[in-house]
Amino acid sequence: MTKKNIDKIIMLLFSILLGALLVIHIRNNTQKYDIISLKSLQMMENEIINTQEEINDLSEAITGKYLELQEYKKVLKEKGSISSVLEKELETYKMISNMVDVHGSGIMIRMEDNDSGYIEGKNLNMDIIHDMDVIMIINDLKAAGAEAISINGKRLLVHSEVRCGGPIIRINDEEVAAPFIIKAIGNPKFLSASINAPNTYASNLRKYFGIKIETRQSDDILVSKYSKEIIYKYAKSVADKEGE
Amino acid sequence: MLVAVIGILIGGIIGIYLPITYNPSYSLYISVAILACLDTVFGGIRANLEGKFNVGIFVSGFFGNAVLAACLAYIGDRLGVPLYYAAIFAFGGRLFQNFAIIRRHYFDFESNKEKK
Repeated sequence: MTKKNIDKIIMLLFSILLGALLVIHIRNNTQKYDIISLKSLQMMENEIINTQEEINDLSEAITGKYLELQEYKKVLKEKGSISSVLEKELETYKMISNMVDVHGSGIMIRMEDNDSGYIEGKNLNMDIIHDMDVIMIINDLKAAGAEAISINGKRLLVHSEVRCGGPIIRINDEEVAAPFIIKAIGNPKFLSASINAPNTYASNLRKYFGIKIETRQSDDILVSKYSKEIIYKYAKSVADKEGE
Repeated sequence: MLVAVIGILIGGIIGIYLPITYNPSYSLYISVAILACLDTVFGGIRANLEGKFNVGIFVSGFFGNAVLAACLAYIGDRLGVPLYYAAIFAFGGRLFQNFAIIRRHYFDFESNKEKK
């Protein structure tokens, strides 16, 4: 009798073990697994890091906006109006949208056509500064961290164009003729390097095409403002649409 | 028979709540091992019904078969030969055999009477 009971208990115990194993195995097998290469793992990691950074940025922006709101409330309580704060803000936005004169350390670049006389069989187009040359140089300056750029007094905005107009080039719908004087505010050493360093576009222009490019570093350069009005005809703010 | 069924059910419920996970690359070995265990439990039921149940044989069969089947699958993987088929055919075949004998024990009244 006791032997039979022991048999039954052992059967029960092992059946329990078997059942548990079965269910654990089934549960483990339900998920599908893919082969993950090191590259995709790294990509996923980068994605996660980027997303986390984005989240951090957003939360920082939230706290920033909250502080701004607090400031508005404070000023409103103290003075009864928030016009002074708004004026200060207007100044910063004007600065960002290049609507004010700015000054600071930077460089001046003077570009002049090659006037070293005509040689028989030479392509004269090679001697002239083209719109593309100016665009490439501006791009180099921007890459070197230029904060404000003007060409012959025409302030360069985000939507400024540099177009060929025959013997002249057009910037902000205004004609500009050689010699071009490009003013850029930024770190003078970096800006100068982006023009003068070997193998940059500007140094190649000077070396192979004989175009005269002079740079002058300065501690105080004035870049004039964009004086026309910016009108957006087609672009509309998404935030406005959501508000409707 | 009833004891085994109840045991498997209890084990299943326990298994749902046990937080055990393992590397999915071992999945094949574990499934072969589970097949071996299943075969042993069926064998145990059959032996119980026939009155020839032996604890030592049952326990050693339960663990030994499982380990051997898993080892076989592993070696097969290393060699590139699907050796786990051997375990599947051996245990699978015996499982049905045991089940057939268990069925006969319950439903084949005439031959049972003759025995008695």
